[in-house]
Parts: sequence; C-alpha cells; structure tokens
Amino acid sequence: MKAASPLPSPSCRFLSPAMDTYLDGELSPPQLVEVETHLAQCACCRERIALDRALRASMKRIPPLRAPDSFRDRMRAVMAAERFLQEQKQAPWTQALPVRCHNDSTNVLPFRRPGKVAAATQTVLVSSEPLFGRVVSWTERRSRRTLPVRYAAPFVMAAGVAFLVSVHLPSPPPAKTSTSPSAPTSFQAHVGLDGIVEDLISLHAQPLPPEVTQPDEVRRFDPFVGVPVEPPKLQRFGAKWEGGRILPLRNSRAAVLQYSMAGGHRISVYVYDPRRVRPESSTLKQRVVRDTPIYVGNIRGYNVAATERQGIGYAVATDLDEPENIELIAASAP
Amino acid sequence: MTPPPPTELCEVDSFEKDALAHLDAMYSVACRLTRNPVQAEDLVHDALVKAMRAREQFQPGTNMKAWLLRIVTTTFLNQYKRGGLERDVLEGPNADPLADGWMSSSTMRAMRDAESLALQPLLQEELQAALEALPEEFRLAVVLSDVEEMSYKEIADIMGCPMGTVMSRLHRGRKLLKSALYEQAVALGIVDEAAEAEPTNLDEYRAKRRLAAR
Repeated sequence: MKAASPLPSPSCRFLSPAMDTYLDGELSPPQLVEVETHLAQCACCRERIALDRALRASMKRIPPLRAPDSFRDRMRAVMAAERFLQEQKQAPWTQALPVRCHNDSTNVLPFRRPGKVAAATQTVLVSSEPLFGRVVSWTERRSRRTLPVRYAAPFVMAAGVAFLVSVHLPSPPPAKTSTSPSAPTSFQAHVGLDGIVEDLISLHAQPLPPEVTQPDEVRRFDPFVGVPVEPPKLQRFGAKWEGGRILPLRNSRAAVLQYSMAGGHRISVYVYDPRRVRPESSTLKQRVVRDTPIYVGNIRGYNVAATERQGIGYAVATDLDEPENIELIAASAP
Repeated sequence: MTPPPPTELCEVDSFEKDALAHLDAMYSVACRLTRNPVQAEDLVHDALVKAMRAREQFQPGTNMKAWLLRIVTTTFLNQYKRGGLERDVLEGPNADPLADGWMSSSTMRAMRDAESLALQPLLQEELQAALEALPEEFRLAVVLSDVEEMSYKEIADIMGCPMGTVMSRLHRGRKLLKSALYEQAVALGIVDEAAEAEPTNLDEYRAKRRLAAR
C-alpha cells in the first residue's frame, strides 16, 4: 500500500552523519566529492538534504534573544564593581585612583563630557566628607543638583571610588572622636554606615528608574544582595509601590525599593547585608525604639533611618519628618 | 584635605566593553540552556564575574565570544550537572529513535513544504519547543551551530570536547528535532501517518525480505 519510496541503501546509512557535516560546510574536499556523488544518484538523500536545509532555515528564523536593557546595565555595574574589587586587592591603596581610562570607549560610556564628570567626582569627594567634619559648600551642592539623572550610576560608582580613597588617604584631618582608628584593612572589608548612607542618599536624591516593577520580582535580587529581599508593606502609610532596583555599593550591593506618597513625597527603602557594614556612625544618632537600636539623622535635607533586624540591614530615606521615618523603618524591618 | 581629582573617569574598560558586546549571545545561549530567563540572568551574571576574575587568561585577539560562551557553558554544566542523563540518552534503548530512512521522501517533502505555507508560524513554535526538549548537551550543540552559527572548531572549544563529539551531538540532536517535528507534522495532518505505515528500519526491512523469500 505504501507508495514505493526507496528504502535507504547501506551507503545512505553510512553517509547519513556526513550529510549534516555537508550542510554545515565542514566536509573536506574528498568527502565532499563522495557525498555529492551519492546525492546525484539518490533521490531520498536529496530529499533529506532539502528537509534539513529547511529545518536549519527555520532555526535561523527563531527570533534572537536580546538581553534586557536593565540586565545589561546591571551587568555593566557588576563588571565594574568586580574590576574595582580586584584592583583594590592587587594595588596597595596608597596608589592613585584605581581608574583605567580608555578614550576609545566613549560610545559605551553613558557620559560624554569629561569635564562634567570630573566635576561630579570632585563634588562627591567633598560631599562624602562629613565623616571628616567637612561642610558641603553651596556651589558644590548646586553643581551636584544640576547633574542629570543619567549620570547617577557612574556618580554612585564614583562615590564608591572617592569614598575609599578619602578613607585611605594617609593623613585625614583628625576626625570626630567617635571614629575609632582601625587598621586600613578593616576599612576594605567593612564600610562604615556613614558611607552606605551617603550612597543611599545620592540615589534617593537622584533616583534611577526601577529595574523591576512587580513586588514579587524583587526576590530575584536575593543572590545579588546576599540577604532575602522582601518589599515592606507600607500601604497603610499611604505609600504606593513604584519598583525596585539593585544599587552597587563599595563591596556589596543593596536592593532599593521605591515608593511614592501623595504630595510628591518619595520613600526609598534599602535592604542590604549588614555584615559588610560597620554599625558605628559619626553623622547618625542612635536611638532605641521598641528595644531596637535605630540610627537616625538628616543628611542633605533628607531624613534617614537605619536599623538591623534578624541579620538583614534596612535603611529608609525620605523627606518626611523624623518620627514618620522611624515609623517607616519599624514597619520595613518586621 | 581633598584628594586630587582624577583627570578622567571611565566606567567601562575595553575588556568590559568587548564582553558587553557579546551579552546578547551569552544571554541567548543561557536562555536556551536554562530554559528560564531568570536563571539565564543568574547564569550570565556568574559567568561574567568568572570572566572578570579570569580576564588575564584571555588572550586579546582570540575569539572572545567563544571564550565567554565557554565560561557560560562550563558554569552551567558545573551548576546543573545531571549525572547520568546524557548517558541514558546516548546509550539507552532510545539511543537511535529515528532510524535513517524512517521517513519516506514524500513525508519529507510534505514537512518541508509546510515550511513555506501557512503553517510556518506554528511549526516555528513547535521547533522552539522541540529544541527546548532536547537533552542539554545536544541542545547546546544545535543552538551554537544553527542559531549562533558557530563553526565546529568553536563549538568544540566552547563545549570542551573533540570535534568528533561535536559532530555526533549535532547529528543526534538534529535527528531528535526531526523526530519531534515529524510527530508534530502527523498531529497537524501535514503528513499522513497511515501512508507512512509503520516506522520501518533497515533491520525490519531485511527481516521482512527474508520472510518473503521463504
């Protein structure tokens, strides 16, 4: 009943693997001759080749997968952070800034005006100085404000670089007595709470768009942050969930969870691994709320509160009042 | 005191820039390997961190895409190694599920023609599904060859195996793909299974001939 389709001859079977190689264009010339001679005689194998060719054409039509832009940005930051860590390990910290420059990479860089970036770096260098009792001058603050948002990521990275450099410089002015002198190596392993807070404030002041907008998705941040990330339920304060993103810190990363409130208020909740952070602080005051120490302070006009609960670090930055901030941090750290 | 400001600040160095240029390929291969975009992102993340740590081992001027994809592949295989699975496929009873010559010429023509007709988008989806269903080492070989269009040599480098192994994985992977598509073609009525009768292989054919000769 079957229309006689010739069954493959032994040579078909023998040459079958070579057909793939033939289509891939990887046969040696003698093999090529052998296969083509067979193809000229064998309708079945010609049909097979035609089908395989069609199949391959279909495979090529599978739409290429593109990495999402947010992922690309994150990987860029991950690599920069990794390079920075390596350079820190290799180079003694007395060396100049661990920044490698390649002028040909301008088309990748999010900024194209070196002057402006230098200005930004300068500003961060100074504005991270509260640790040493410096005051940020008006002009520096103004130049900082005029920076477009898209500069914020390099800005935060720059803050990381600048912070470490300013900490590591051999002769800082005698800072506040509360900063206990410790070996430089401990600075590398642990960043002070003040340094973290500086980064957090920078991101709160000039927020980046969220990488995820679904509350469930923030769990994906867990491996990057090193602690479980759970968006706090701040709805009862009238806060509306906006989204979350990863914030590269000096030696780790934090998750930033962004909320908005009526009246144009914004709330940034940060979740970080507190093992990488020294709790003592020179700019934040310690208060005890419900038997838990909470660090509070006002930095550059923003109220900040930070605490630790069950091995997870939480910080909140808002333009709300301090009591409201304490309520928020208490609600964020369940 | 204020530390001297850097003259210039660059966020991305040339190695990172080159690596980012291959991010789509890494992500694409990672998606095909893990079959899950979230895991794919984790995999690429891990691979890029490894690449950064091993960047001294990369020789500039050599094939960076292959180097990065090799890191993705080994990271995946180390993390998700599923012991005996591949052995089962290679040596189990289904080792050769689609005997050569199983499909008649008319079937092959029908499947091929469907490609150019209205069923194309449907088959496209089926093809993706069939690709995802392949055992991982076959899938990787087929993706690298047919989607990423890499040479046998590059695939051998990436998979860390001899070229002969690449060829056999490709051959078997494509055979499994064709077999899955054949089933699909029958289900869609593109091919008439009855006309194809029972799957025949050479041994059965010879046995029948022997019987008929008696």
